[in-house]
Amino acid sequence: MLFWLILGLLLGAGALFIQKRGNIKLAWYDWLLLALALLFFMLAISNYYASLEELETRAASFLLLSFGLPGLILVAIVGIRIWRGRQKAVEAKA
Amino acid sequence: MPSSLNRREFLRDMGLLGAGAATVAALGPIEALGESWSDQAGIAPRPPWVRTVDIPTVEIDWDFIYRFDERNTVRRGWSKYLDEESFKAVQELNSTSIYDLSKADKPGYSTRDIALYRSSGIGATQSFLGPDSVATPEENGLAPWTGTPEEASEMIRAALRAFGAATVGFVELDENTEKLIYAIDPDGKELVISEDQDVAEETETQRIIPKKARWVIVWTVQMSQEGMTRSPTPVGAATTAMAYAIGRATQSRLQGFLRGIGYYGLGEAQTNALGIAPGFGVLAGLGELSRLNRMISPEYGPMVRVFKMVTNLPVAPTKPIDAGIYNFCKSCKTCATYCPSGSLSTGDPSYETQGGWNRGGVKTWYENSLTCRNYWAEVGTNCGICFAVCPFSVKDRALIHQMVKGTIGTTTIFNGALAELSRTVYSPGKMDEPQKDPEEWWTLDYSEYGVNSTQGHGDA
Ligand code: SF4
Ligand code: SF4
Repeated sequence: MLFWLILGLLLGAGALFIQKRGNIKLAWYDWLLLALALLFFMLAISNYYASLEELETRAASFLLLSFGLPGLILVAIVGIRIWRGRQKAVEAKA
Repeated sequence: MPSSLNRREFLRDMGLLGAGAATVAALGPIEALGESWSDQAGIAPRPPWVRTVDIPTVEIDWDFIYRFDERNTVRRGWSKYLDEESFKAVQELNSTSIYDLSKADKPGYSTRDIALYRSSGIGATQSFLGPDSVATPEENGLAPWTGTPEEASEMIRAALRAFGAATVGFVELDENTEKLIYAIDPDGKELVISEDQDVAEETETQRIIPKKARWVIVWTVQMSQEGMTRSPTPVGAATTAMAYAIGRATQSRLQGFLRGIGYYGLGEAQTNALGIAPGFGVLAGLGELSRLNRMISPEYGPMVRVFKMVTNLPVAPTKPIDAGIYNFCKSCKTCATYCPSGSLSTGDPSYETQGGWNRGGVKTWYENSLTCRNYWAEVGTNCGICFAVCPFSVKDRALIHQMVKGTIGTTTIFNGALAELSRTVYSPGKMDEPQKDPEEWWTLDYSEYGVNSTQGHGDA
């Protein structure tokens, strides 16, 4: 319960941060990728903790990695896209 | 039925989403469409990939099925399958190995481990006719309970859950299903299905089942994954002994309950008596037959013992299921690979039996019960490694289990990969060693009986 509450707060704060900082422009597919990444992270965290509760430590690490890694890759893709977009904007100004 | 979505159902639905996503991505042979699923009287709501079907997933040739003599099983007739000298030797080994292993400081064989194993089976007694300590309605001046077969199923399920059962199903006896009742019980008494007699009876040589008693109540009792994963040590074997003890208690309680509402229940006179438990379990839809040649339940995998009782209370039969388990076993050979005595088949399901202990007539994976039993003698317990390493022997806290079971129940194309993954992640130990440290078991904050009694159920 506490987990979902903290997750909700973090997500809300993240969305607010992106919205307030007008210089971060996200295309619709970026949002889709972020949503997918979020799903992966949620699966990673929930399976990790549940596996620890099941006393399956090996499974916990495996699941954290299997779901966490794709999530990280998706976030990295969006991050690189934002960074490239900014670079282009800087170059265009120059 | 619960009126709102509880946590378990929410998690289950999330699992379905995951499984759905996986199958849509694969566009493989999708099997979930077609057969319907529904809440059957007496069966707790199940996820959609557990589909009810008209005939079991395992092929049965009823013409070849006959009423078996229980004494032909290796459990009872071990000596039949060995020459006198070999039998004497394994018997000697059987009675000494556990203590020899203990003296040799084998982990999991300490004095306390053996004491746990030996005491876990202590509990209720069992008999064919059951206890008569509960008064009948007539004796109390009351009317017997009446209701529809569906109401009866629902009532029996509620009572059995309260008595300690995990899942409950029902089979109607007909000329085929009747063949799953043994011809001879383990103690040599003949089981007679009598057209002439209305009252059940036990004599010196016979147990009489009136033909009017046309229904079989089938139920499972959970075993502990945490315990079983310490197989083949006494700590692992304790959970089996415990499940049998609970089974005996549920049987006696159910017999008392049936008597108290004006009916009767005819139970096992001793362990594995009366009829073929996995067969009734499969027909009742409590699970599917597996490579273990035992029933695997979609809720608990093989972590169950199956019990049965013949009754004259008309109940609504439940249907067999297809949750993809039998098909999964065709790709997964984990149990057979890990079996230290090579007793389990690594081939395809077949009608070919392995010895006199198999009755035949079912297209399954017949086991070599003799080599299995001889291995039990070596380790001084009833082993259980094959149960422990089965991918279905998982708890249900992590969403991944519902996602995997949902995928297995929906398509066969990932079966090989999922079996491989399960071996790597959940059973990384050696084949003749416990998968988890038996000593560590004593430090666990263990749940009652080591099981999660809400697993597979919506209303805790
Ligand atoms: S109980 Fe042990 S010996 Fe028997 S089939 Fe299973 S793994 Fe093999
Ligand atoms: S280990 Fe694999 S093959 Fe054996 S019963 Fe379990 S699922 Fe079937």
